[in-house]
Amino acid sequence: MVRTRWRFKFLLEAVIALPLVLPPTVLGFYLLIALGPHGPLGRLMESLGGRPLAFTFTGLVIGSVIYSMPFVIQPLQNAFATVGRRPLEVAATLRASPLDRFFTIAVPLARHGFLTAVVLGFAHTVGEFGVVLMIGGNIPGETQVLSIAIYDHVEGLEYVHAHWLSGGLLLASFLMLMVVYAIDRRFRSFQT
Amino acid sequence: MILSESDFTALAITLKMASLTTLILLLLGTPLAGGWCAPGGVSSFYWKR
Repeated sequence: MVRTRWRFKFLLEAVIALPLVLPPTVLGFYLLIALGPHGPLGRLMESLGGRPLAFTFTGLVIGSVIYSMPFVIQPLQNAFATVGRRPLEVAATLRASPLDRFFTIAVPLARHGFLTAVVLGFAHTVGEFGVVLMIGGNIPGETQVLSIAIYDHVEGLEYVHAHWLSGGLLLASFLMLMVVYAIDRRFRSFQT
Repeated sequence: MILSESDFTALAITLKMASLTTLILLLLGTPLAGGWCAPGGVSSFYWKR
C-alpha cells in the first residue's frame, strides 16, 4: 500500500481507517446483521453446514479483526514508508526478486513498526467493548470478555471485583506501552 | 477469592481473542501495508520502464 500507485488507494485507506471514526455500536450492528442467520456471511456458513457466526467466539474474532485493523495496518504502513525506496532499488540492482526484497530488506528494516503494531493491536482488542457486546452478546464462558465483565460487576455494585479487573488492565496497558517506548527509544538510538 | 471463576474465564477468552486477532491482522496487514502484492511496487515492471 505504501508503494502502490493504484488510483483508488485513497478508497482502500479510508475503508481501513473507518473503524477509527465509526461508533463501535454501528460497526457491531452491521456485523451482527452480516454474521446473523439472515446476513450474507451467516447464510454462507449455513450453506457450508455450519451455524451463523453471531454470538460465537469466531464472530467475536472477525469483529475484532475489522475493528482493530487501523491500529495494526497504520503503524506497519508508516514503518514501511520510512524504509524508503533506495534500499529496495539497490537490492533490485543485485537481482533480488520482489519477494526477496520484501522479506530480506523491507520487513527487517520495518521491525520497530511490527512491534508497535502488535502491541497496539493487542491492547486495543483487549479493551474492545461496543463491538464485542453487539456481536458476542455477553454470554458467560463463551463470549464474555474482560471489559464486559467489568461493566457487569459495576452494574451489580461489585466494586471490589471491578477494581481488581480494572487495575489489572490498567497495569498491563501501562507495561505494554512502556515496553514499546523503551524498545522504540533503543531502536532510534541504534539508528543514529 | 477476589476474582471469581467467570472472571478468569473472561480473561482467558479476552487473551485468546486478542492473540488471534493480532496474529490474523499481522498476516493480513504485512503484505497489505508493505505493498508487496500491490501494483506499482518495486517490481520488474518498474525497472523495464
